[in-house]
Formats: sequence, C-alpha cells, structure tokens
Amino acid sequence: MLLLAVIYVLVLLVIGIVAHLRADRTPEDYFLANRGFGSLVLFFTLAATNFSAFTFLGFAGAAYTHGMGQYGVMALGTACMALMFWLIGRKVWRLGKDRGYVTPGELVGGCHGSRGLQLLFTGVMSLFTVPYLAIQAVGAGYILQMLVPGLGMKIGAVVAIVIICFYVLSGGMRASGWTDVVQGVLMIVAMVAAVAFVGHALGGFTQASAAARDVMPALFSRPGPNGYFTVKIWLSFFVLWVFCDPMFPQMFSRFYTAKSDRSLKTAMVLYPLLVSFFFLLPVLIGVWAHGTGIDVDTPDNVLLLMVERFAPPMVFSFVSVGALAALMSTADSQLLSLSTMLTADTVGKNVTISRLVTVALTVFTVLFVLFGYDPASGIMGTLVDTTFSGLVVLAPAVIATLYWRRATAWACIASILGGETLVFLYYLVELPSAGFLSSMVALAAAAVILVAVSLLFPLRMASGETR
Amino acid sequence: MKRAWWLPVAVLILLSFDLWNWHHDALLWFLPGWMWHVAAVTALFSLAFILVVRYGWRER
Repeated sequence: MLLLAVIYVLVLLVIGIVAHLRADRTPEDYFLANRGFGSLVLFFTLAATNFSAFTFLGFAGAAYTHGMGQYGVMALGTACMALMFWLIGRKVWRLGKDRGYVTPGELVGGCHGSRGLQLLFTGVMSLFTVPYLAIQAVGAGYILQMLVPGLGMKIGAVVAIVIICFYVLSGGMRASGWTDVVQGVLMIVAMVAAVAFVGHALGGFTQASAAARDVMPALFSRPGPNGYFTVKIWLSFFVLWVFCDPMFPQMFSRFYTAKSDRSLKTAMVLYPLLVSFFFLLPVLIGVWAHGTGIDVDTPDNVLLLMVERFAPPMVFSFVSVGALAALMSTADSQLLSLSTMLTADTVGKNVTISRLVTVALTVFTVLFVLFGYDPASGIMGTLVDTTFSGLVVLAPAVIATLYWRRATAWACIASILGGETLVFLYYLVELPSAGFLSSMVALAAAAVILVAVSLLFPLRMASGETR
Repeated sequence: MKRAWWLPVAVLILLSFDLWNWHHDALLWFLPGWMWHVAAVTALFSLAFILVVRYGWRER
C-alpha cells in the first residue's frame, strides 16, 4: 500500500512541477490556467472535483444504511445537473472571458455593480464550503485508519489535509486540472476493480444481491429499510443536486477555465453517462455487505472493509489509493477556489496572498476536523446539514443575475440572507418542512424573496446600479 | 421546432420520478426493476443533452 501511495503522490508532484514550469507567472494562469482547458481536461476536472470522498466512501455508507434508493437520489439529480453546464456554465464562461472574472462573487457582484453583494456571496460560499473540505480530510482519515490500525481517524485526517495543503501550494489551477485527469481515471478504474473483485468473491453479482435480499429485502425497495427515501425526499434530492452542485465554488470556478464552448458541451454530454454507471458501484458494495455478515461499526467504512475482506491485498491497496485520489482531487480544488475567492474578492488577484490564505484555510480545516465533526451523523448527514443546504440558497441569486434583468443587488442580498437564516433555523430548531428536505424550504424562500424584493423596490434599487 | 429539444428533456425529467413504479422492487438479474429504469433514464440524459447542445446552444 505504502509503495503505491508513494508512487501516486510522486506522480502528482511531478505533474505539479511540470505545470509550475509551464506557468506564465500571471494571476490568471495561477487561478484559471489561462482559461485554456480543452474538452478532456475540463470533463475530468469537473468529474474528479465533484466526485469526492462523499462519492467514494459516503455513497457506500449511505447504501449500507438506506439501501439501493441511494443510487436513485444521487444519480438522477447529478445527471440532470449537467443541464446547468448550459444554463449557468456557458454564461459564466462567456462573462468571465469578456470581463475578466475569476471568482463567483466577482460575477454576481460585478453584474449588479455591488461590492457588498460580492463580499456577501463570497463569504457565504466560503463559510459552507469549509465543512465540505473537512469531509475530504475525514475520508482520508478513514482510509489511513484502516491502513495504520490505532492511528485514529482524526489524526489521519489532519495528516492528510496538511499533505494536501503542500500539494496545492505547488500547483495552481493548471496543476489541479492535470492531476484531476490522472486522479479521475484512477478513481474510476479503482471503483470498477473493487466491484468486480468483491462481486466475483461473493459468487457473482446475482448471488451477492440475492444474499443481501435474503437478509434484508427492504434494501432493494426505494424507501429503504428505514423508509427514509419517500417520494418527497426523492424530489428534494433531485432539486438539491441540480441547483446545489453548480454552487460549489470549485465547480463554479471551473466554468471559467473552459477553452471554448465546445469543452463545456462535451462535458455536458459525457457527465450523465459517467454518473449512470459510476454511482451504482459503491451502492452495490454497500448493499452487498448485508449478505456477508461482515461487522460494520461505521457505515462510511463499509466499502474499504468489503474490499479488504473479499479482494486480494493488491486490489485493496489500489482501491485505497483510488479513494485517496477521489478526496484529494476534490480537496485541492476546494482549497484553490476558496483561497482564490478570499483573495481576489477582498484584496485583489495576488498569488502570494492566495498561497497564505491556503495555509490559513488548512489550519481552519484542522480545527473543524478536531472539534466540529460529528461522527454519529456520518458524511451524508454532516454535508446535508451544512454545505448543501447553505450553498443551494445561492442558486436563485445566480440564476436571476444571469437571466432576469429586473433582479437587483438588494434583492439578491435579501434572498441570500433570508435563505441562510432559514438554513440556520432549521439546523438549530426543530421546524416542519412538510416531508421535504429543509433545504427545499430555504431554496423556495430565497427565490420568493428575490422576486418579491425586485418587483416591490425596482426604482430605488436600480438607481446607481449597472448591469 | 426551434425549441423542440425541450420536449425530450421534459419527458426524461418526468420519467425520472417514475412514481407509478415506486414499489416494484423484485430483482431483475442483480438489481431491482426500478433501478434499471433509473439507470436507463440517467444514461438517456446524455442523449437528451446532445439535442440541447445541437439545437439550444448557440455562441457568438
């Protein structure tokens, strides 16, 4: 395992060094690779960035708990999200190219001529992305914990995020994109290998599924053993992924990096194809675990436990490295996009300051892992409670900025503040949400507030604003 | 016909919900029947998006 991991890290470092040597030493090159990603790099960087420790480990854990329904709620919404490459990505790419934007906040604030909206947007995006960044470290902690018994998840997580920090500092967007290609391929091959070897060891796919079904038939129903995936929850997740995924700063900023509209078009077509089969694989392993009698203490560990038990040691090592690739490809993108936003949106496009911010973010992430992470709720619970709910509220402001001329800066500000207030209220207090995810209520409220404020105060808000 | 690409996308989104097939969870090979439906619809999004790219996406 250690040998494979060392080789993997060395490959990433070499790519980082090559990218560094070929860099133009300009802020736009460091932050956006000179807006030059072609179809292949853009597709893999979008996929590898979005498919994280949550995809690799969290899916299997959620499937172990809630059954096959996990595939449906994730695959449909994420596949349909590719439509946003057109609705949002193409306009972001065009505006970024024309006006020199490098961050989401610059675009939203810039289109309205509002510095306050820019800072608010960046602040909210950063606030809710840091927990998601920490989740990648938690995923690495789980992997290292299995490889080095007695190490402990939190110590492993801290070690991983510190290593990731060094890697990000050596890179920039060009290195991030190029390594995403390697990491994306590695991640996909590792997951396919995991399912193939585990399925074979369990007597084939049919027998593996039949064994799990004998133990717990409800795993194969849509609502699942706990009845969690009701129709309303399915619809909620569908809407959540469609509107939330483009609001991840690491995804949003990648729209700027496209070399041409052709790059975005290719990614839009290939993305659902990849999702349709890739998301199925961890779900299968999570469900199959019930038919094996394997002892699973933490659901998020189930994928690696199954591979360790039912595949050769070499395959386990390879899959572990694949899991590391999944989380590192997301974490380095998050670190870069966060440091870019917190620099460019506050003091300007300064690469040195951005690198300092990267270090500060790493320290903040370490503190979150040590004191803010609740293992009882698992990766899924922690993310849904914090990141996804907080980010999806930003979608109405972005869409209105791009498509609705009557939208005003103050309406966007009111929409974001109102939506986020609801997110925090739902997190702190037990409030009804009519069977839907609470984030759907916050999203709807944000949209209503935006429309209402824009229509009720059009003249006052429009004065002094340029679009 | 200019906006005809919307039709298959809308149909696919409606098919995604698949409410009439909600409790059909008998195994078909190694997956329940509804899973094949979801997987097929997910893959079909790619084909629908080819229409979007072809007919809906214009850049100056």
